[in-house]
Formats: sequence, structure tokens, C-alpha cells
Amino acid sequence: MRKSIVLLVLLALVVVSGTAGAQKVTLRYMFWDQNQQEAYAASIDEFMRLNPDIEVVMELAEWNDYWTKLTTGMAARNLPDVFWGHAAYFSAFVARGALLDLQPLIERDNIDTSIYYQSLLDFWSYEGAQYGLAKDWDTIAFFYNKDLFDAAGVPYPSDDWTWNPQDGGEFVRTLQLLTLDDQGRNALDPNFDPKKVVQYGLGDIGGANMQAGWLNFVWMNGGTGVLDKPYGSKLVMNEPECIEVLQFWSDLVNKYHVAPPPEATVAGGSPWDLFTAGRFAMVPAGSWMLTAGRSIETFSWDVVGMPWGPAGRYSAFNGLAHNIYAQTPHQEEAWRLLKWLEGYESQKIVAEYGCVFPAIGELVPTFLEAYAGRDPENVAVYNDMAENTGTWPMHVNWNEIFDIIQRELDMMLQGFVDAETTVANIEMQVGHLLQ
Amino acid sequence: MARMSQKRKREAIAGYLFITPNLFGFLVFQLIPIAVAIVLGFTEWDLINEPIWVGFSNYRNLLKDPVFQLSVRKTLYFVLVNVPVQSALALLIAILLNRSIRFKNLIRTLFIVPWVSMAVAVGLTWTWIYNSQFGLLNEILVKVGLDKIPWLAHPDWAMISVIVVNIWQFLGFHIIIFLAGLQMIPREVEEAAIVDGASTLTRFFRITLPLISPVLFYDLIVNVIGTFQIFDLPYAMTGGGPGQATRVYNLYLYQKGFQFLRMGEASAMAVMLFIIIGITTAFFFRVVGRRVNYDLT
Repeated sequence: MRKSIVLLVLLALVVVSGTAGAQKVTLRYMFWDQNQQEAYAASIDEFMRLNPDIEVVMELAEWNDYWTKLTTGMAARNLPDVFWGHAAYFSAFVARGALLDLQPLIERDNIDTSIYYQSLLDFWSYEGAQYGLAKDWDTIAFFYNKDLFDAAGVPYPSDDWTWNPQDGGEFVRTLQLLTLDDQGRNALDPNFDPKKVVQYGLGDIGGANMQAGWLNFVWMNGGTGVLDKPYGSKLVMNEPECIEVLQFWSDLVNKYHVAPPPEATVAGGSPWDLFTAGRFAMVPAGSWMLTAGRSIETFSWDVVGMPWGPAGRYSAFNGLAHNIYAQTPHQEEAWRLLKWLEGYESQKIVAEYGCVFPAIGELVPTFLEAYAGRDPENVAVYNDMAENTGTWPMHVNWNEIFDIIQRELDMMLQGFVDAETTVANIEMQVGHLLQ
Repeated sequence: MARMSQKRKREAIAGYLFITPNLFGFLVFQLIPIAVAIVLGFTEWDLINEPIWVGFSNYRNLLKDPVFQLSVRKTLYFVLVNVPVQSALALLIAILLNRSIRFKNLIRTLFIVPWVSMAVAVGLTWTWIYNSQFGLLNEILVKVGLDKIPWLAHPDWAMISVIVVNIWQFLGFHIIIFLAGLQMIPREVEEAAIVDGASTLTRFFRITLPLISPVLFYDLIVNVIGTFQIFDLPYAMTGGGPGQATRVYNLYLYQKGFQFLRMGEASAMAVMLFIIIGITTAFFFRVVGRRVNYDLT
């Protein structure tokens, strides 16, 4: 008798907990950067503790597959409820109505958006509506291999180093001293053999690398960039300041021989692999690469800001945000998760891991503290790079436009065409996409 | 109509039951998607919003699109180089392997391995080998005193470099087919010819070739259809570059659909490829098919 009562109670418990489980809402959360997984898992665990009615499932999709997964997911009406957004892809999604407008929710819940950098909020606004808050931000600087500098007897680059598109300036001279052929001669040696380079001064300068690469130099030469304004319909790459920089970029490969042609790093090894293997003395790197840098064990390294150009020093300034799928059946729960992730507590948890600069200015010192006593010593330079930033090109047909730009730039970097012809080729092809 | 006997009825049911799994797979994974693609080809669909009916405008736009025309030319070039070279090589190797030589099984296996490997993995491995700066091939060229070759870096080289990998990768498949054909040739015919004093070359052209012509023909059709649909290798090795050098048809189709969110145009491209392949196959059946000898006696 007693046994059967115990059984009954147990059964009742199972039934009750079963129904409680059924009421729990499961949210799917998709992201692309494995380096941030640990930090966000910690934040989401805390969120689930505070919101026992919500279960969050994290889905990692690597960058190369991420956007294909999102678009096919949309076609199948089966998308994560909350996912990371990127400025380069945002415009295509928002213009097609895939993202939830957060403006009414922001107003309803009196969200204080003044804690975020305004320029980050601007990324996510489209035709008067707001589709994201701000998750983080990033700027560009150079990672350099200290051991290779020491071996070549070259002093480490200083924060006030310079470049110019005519003869390259201090920047190119440094790179020349760090580019070595198989006999150990550097690129300034009259007997230097550019066909047998074993170590390059600079890596990762392909056409695809706009954010950390050529676009920054266009700005530093006084150029506007790619489009006249965000969502603009005019290509401005034909400005002389831009053409000059693109030619300079090509010269790095074909005249100074201090960087490999893009194919050598696109096919085969990623620039990052070649940098960590000691084949490149320097690579431009966004601040999001800092966590990846922690796994470098074979040499010591540091960061240095962009070299100063004729028009000063500029960096791309970009940031991510969480977006909500417009068709999610769990709009309210997704909004609660988004509010948490962009809020102060979560950004503090993530900042303590030191993986990305928090979108809340007040938390930047917390992020920098995470680097106390470890490489890179000069991490704060990323914060300085945020002083002057260029305008990110945005367009509803951006994927198609950028596909053309990167192909043509790669042809130029391989040394087949000059910068002027390249820009003319780009103009010819993108015309119909810009209207 | 005469009624089927009880036995025949049961046999018919059993027959249908046997093909049910296959038929189901064909319907779900082939016929229905094909029908959907045909319909979508007449719409504008960005994968996010509902498709909009646009009639033939996708087809008109494509025919005017210079990149589309270019991708057709690139694909034709791929087929025209790949198919003859691959078939000739495979036939030659199959004939050699059909004789009693040492390590026959080992050699056969070596040819099969690339075929059963994943194309993307094969492609990525070859990008390492081909890498113009740090790759194995160029390292060897420099060691023997030659200049580096921009295998995948130069538009003039990239296509041929990809085709070489494709030929190598699927050689094993064609060798197997040819080997099967060669083993169908009755021993007596060959022996009789030897007794009659026919030379090796005569025996090849008068006996071997006519007797395996059904297999050759089958292989030709399969190869042409398969090569028109080439995707994985250029996708993994060059992404269609440098510039437009290796932007083959299916690569452009994929980009249209999934990168540029123009699924309607991508579907229209799929339908057009279907038509192109259909016409080519029909052409081969008319011109080559009638010369095939199905009489093995």
C-alpha cells in the first residue's frame, strides 16, 4: 500500500514537471564566432537562471556557412529566433523584411539607448525603424611578430609611424626589411629575388579584405570610400584618392614585393595560419582576432595602430548586434533575450572574458583589464583607433556589388591590370545594381 | 482487356513494392524539386518574401547577362577539355590494367581513392599543392631550376589547373566502367584474331573498340552530363576566380540563389541547364549512338 502511494506521488511529480517543461519556450540562438562561445554561454546560463521559463539553445555556424544557413533557413521558414547580425549583410535582410523592428519594444520598455555608441545604433536603423541595439564594436590595427622584427634587427613600429601612396614611406620601408628571400636577403637588397620569397612583411591584403585592408587606406588618403553615402547609389571608387591607394595596394605586391598576391593566401593557407606559422611579419587584424591571438605560443607578438596617412589615421568601425527573426513565434521571449544580451550585466560578463569590445562605453576598461599581464601589451591601441572612423558602405545589393569589387581587385593585386582599369571595370559591372 | 491471372497480379504487386523505396526517393528528391524549380523559374523570389510571378523575364535577363554567357562558355570549355582527355586516359589505363601486371589490385585501388574522396577535401588539398608561393608543385619546379607557375593565380592557368584535378579525381570511376567493358569481350574472339595474325593496333581498332562501344557510349553520356554540372572543385579551389576565370555555370547558379538572393533566376538557370544537357545528350544519341555496336557475338 505504502509502496503504491510512493509510486503515485512519483507519477504525479513526473506529470507535473512534464507539463511545466512543455510550457518552457525554447529559443534558438545562432552565432558564428567560436572564440566568443565561452563568454556567451556564461551570459546565457545566467539569463536562463533568471528566466526559468526560457531555454536557449546555442547554434554555432562558422562564418563561411553562416549566411547561407540564414538565407536557406528563411526560405524554409525555419530560422533561429535570435542571431548575430553584421553590417555587410544587414541591409540585404532588412530590406526584404526578415528582421523584427525593435522600435516599438524599445519605446514600450523605456530602453536607455544612450549607454551605447551612437554610431553603432545607426548601423541598425533603416527607414526610421530600429532593428538592433549594439552587441560590441571593433576597429583595425596591425598584429606583428616581435621575434621576426628582432631577427631582422628592425625596431618595433611606433604608434606615430607613417605611410604615403607615392613611395610608401616608413610603412613600406619597415615591410621591405622584413621580407626575406631564400638566401635571407631582404627586399631592399639589390640581389633580392622576389620569386623566392620565404617570409613576407605583410599578409592578408586580398580584395575580399575590405574591412581590415584597403578601405582603411582609402580613407587615410582622403578618399570617401566605396559609395557616396550609406545606401547611396553612386560608386565613388573613381576618386583620384581611391585609385591612388588601390595602385599603392597593388604596388605592395607587384612593385615592392612585400606582400604575397591574394591567391597565395586565399588558396592554401589562411593569412592567419601563415601569420601564426611565422611566414608573415605583420597582418592587419580586427580587434575580434585578439582571442584567436591567445593561442599563439611559438613567438611573442604585439599590436600597433594603423600608420598615419596623408589625411590622418582612420579605421573601419564596425559592430555587431543581435537581430530577431521577423516571423518568430516567440517574439516576446526573443526580445527578453535580446534585451539581456545587449544590456549592462551581460556585456559585463562578456567583457570580462576579453573577447570583444563591449558596445557600452563604460565597460571598455573592464575589457582592457582582461589583458593585464598577457600579449598583446598594446591592446589599448584598438580603443585609440576608434577616434577617426570611416563610413561603412551599405546597400541592399551589397553581396552582389562586393562580389564584383573583390574579384576585380584580386585581378589587380595579381598584377594583371592597373588600378584605373580596375575601377573602370568595377563601375561598368555594378551600374545596374546601384539603382 | 484480358484479366490478369492471379499469379501475374501478385507478381506485379511485388514488383511495385520492390521499386517503392526508389520511386519514393525519386518523387521526393527529384521530381517534386524539378517541378518546383520550373515554377520558381517564372517568379522573382528572394527566399524571404512570397515569390512574385514575372513570366519569362528571368530568362530574358539571363540571356542578356554577360556573366551568364561567360559561365556558359566556361562550362563548355570545361566539358570539351575534360571529357575527351579523361576518357582517353581512362581507356588506356583500363587496357593496361586488364592485362596481368604486377600489383594490379594495388594500382586499381590507387585510382579509386580520389574518386571516393570528398570533392571539397580534394579541392582544398590541391589548393595547397598549387599554391603559387608556398605550394608543393612550385617548390619542386624551383628545386629543379624552373620558374614558378601561377597555377590558380593566373586567369590563363586556373581553369586548366582545375580541369586537371577533375580528370585525376574521376579517372578511377571511368577506369572501372571500361574494365567491366573489356572483361565482357569474349576470349575466343581475341584469340582467333591473334591466330589470324592481327597486330595489336588492328586488334584494338577492329575488335576491342567495336566490342566495348556500348560501354564507351554509356561512359561518354554519363561524363558529359556530370561535367556540365561541375561545381564542387571550382567552388573549393577558386571560388570562380581569379576574376571570372573559373566561374562555371553551377557556381554562378549557386551564387545567384544563395548569395545574391535571386532564387527565381537561379531556378531559371537550372531549367536552362537541364535543356542544354538534354539537347547535348540527344545530339550524342543521334550522331554517336547509331554507330554503337550492341552485338557481342
